[in-house]
Amino acid sequence: MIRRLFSVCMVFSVCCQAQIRFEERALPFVLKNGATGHFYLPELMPGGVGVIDYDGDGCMDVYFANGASLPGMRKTGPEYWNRLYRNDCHGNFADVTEKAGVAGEGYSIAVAVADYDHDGWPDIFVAGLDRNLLFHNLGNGTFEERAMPAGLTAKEEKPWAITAGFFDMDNDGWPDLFISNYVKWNPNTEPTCGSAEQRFYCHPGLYQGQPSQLFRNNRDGTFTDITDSSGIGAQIGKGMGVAFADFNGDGLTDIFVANDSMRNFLYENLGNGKFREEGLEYGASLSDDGRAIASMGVDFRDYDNDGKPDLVITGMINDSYLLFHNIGKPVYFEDRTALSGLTAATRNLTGWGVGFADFDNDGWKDLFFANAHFPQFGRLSGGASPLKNSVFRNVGDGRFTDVSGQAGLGGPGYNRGAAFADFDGDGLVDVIVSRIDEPARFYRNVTRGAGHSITYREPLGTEMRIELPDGSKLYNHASTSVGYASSSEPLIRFGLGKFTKPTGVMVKRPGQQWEKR
Amino acid sequence: MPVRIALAALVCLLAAVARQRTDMPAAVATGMQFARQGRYLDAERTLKAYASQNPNSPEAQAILGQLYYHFGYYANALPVFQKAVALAPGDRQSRILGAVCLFKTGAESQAEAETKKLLAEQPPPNDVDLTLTYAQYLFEKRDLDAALTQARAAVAFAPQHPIGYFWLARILQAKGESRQATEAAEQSVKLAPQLPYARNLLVRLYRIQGRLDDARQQAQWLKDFEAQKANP
Repeated sequence: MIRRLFSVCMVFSVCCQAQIRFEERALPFVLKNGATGHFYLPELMPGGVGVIDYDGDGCMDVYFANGASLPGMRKTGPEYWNRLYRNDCHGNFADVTEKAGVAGEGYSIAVAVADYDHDGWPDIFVAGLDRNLLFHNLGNGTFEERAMPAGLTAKEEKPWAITAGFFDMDNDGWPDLFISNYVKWNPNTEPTCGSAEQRFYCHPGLYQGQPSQLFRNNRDGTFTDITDSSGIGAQIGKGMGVAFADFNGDGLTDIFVANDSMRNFLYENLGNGKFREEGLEYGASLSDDGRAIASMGVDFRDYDNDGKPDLVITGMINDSYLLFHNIGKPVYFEDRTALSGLTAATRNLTGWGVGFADFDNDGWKDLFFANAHFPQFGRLSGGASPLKNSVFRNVGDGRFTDVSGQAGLGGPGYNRGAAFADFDGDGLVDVIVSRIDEPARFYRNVTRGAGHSITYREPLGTEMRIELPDGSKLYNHASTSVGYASSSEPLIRFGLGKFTKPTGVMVKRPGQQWEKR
Repeated sequence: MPVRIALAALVCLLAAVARQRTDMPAAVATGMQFARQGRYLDAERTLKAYASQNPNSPEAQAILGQLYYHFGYYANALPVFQKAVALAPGDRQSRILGAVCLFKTGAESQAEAETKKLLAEQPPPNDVDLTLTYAQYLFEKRDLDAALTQARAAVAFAPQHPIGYFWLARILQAKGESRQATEAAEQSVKLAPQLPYARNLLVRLYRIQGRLDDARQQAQWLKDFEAQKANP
């Protein structure tokens, strides 16, 4: 198996003001939500995108979660299959779903990727409406579904999961699993909303929330449900995106859950398998004006290189997406949306997938948003429901500038999950976005004049700091869970700007101190 | 998708309609009834029909515009207000709400020009929405001093309005004036203890000042407020 422990890529000539630009390609995958005019709430929710090097060739492949027919929640035909595409290392993707045995069953929504059993091969967890699936990678190009023997099936009523993510909750080097659950839903009791002439999807306020779930890795291919003992089960939410980072620098990875139309949760990891929800106290639950937005996607990374991970959260039209800047103790998160320029720029958007990624390799993580209003909502808001995706350049002083117009992001669609990876090995971060009823989009990053980049493969939860020749320091950490129901490349990536290599590399692996790498 | 109805906005809408005319036509009364019941689409259909049937009535246009406005559909509201103003150039309320819509829909330079014009008029409009939307715009542009001027103006002409104090607090906090920000946020809560706006700000301000018990108290209030949303 080829493992690129690290790589340095030199990309074109170096410039610091490169225009972020993508080349848009359609992929053969079409996301189907099973909509038949009944306005079942789950129709809004598919689906996530997962990056996985399933065959160990060093190139990032892609897996898509897909819906099912409704109300039966069955994959009644190949159009509902989840799909795995093998990357030829140049960004060309071939469908290997059947051979790999990963079409799945049920109404799938989210993808999480990790080598949960330490056999050297990354596995796929699929979370969904009626069931969750664990595809164990056999290392020969095929997978075996093992949710039940792994202890990941529901004992009682299966909660509706929207996102799942692997992280290392106890610093033992084994990926644990967090599942973000949404609301209680039954097709037979689906409320009716809108008018006689125009049905709408109902507001989540009409549905009962659910607690999320936490499963500890037993290091033997199985998991133990510690939802209740960990404290996670005490919070009833309407969970969508989930992201992980050590926000308070105590060496333990914390969890952020984006809740739909109610306050977000920030679970502080207390150690010993315990978590305490502290979102309101630490300023990460509500917008600055005390409003809960319709939070959907989230990413949790340090956008300003101060060593403290920050949050970005997508929401609905009139919400504005949220940018929480981590200023450390005692306040931790401060709503910097307005001062960053994102309030006005995102007020008329509805967002799903989101990610911090340094698209121009200038050392500052930029922002990508996968956007789409709810069907019919565009008419209400004076426009159309499908939206274009957007990319904002981090200008390095806390502000983000909308550069979507020149970024080559193509036309509007019902965009959903977005995952980030360098799919063609050119040192630039690319994006893959799923779209309801349309081919998924592969945004190949073709930014001219981008800087150099470097990547490191480290265990989940590892923090890294690199120092550049000019003395500046850059921070990032290992986490794959990203945006909405999606999973990105398992690498820690840095844009180096005009420099070709760092002068110093420090690493803080889970449970350890900072050390030279 | 979901139409989110802010009770305060609805009350405001009804008051606006009542201000405009006491002999409310049946269609308007019906439309308002739908709005009150959260039946936005029925309200829109009714008021839209009324506006179509009375194309030369600035009031009919303005009422439809206010429905859109108060439900947050600013892009729909804007052309309706513009039509109302075209029919009745003296309809300052429609000009004011139209200016807010311009801000909300991203037409910022046009919005700012129209706002400056309105604010320069005598007597001054003294409209809380317009003044605070302008303050927010200036805040987003990082012109904190100008934003503060607007927030102070709003508080001066509407001293019982909690949102004016909230914005005053928010801007002062951003300027690093924690003590004054705290006073303004507390005043906002005092004026409207049922609203969450300033409480979230107070959590942070109290934590900065080491008043952890006070911060916890505000956080608990917000938790209780939010808990209702999980369990309809």
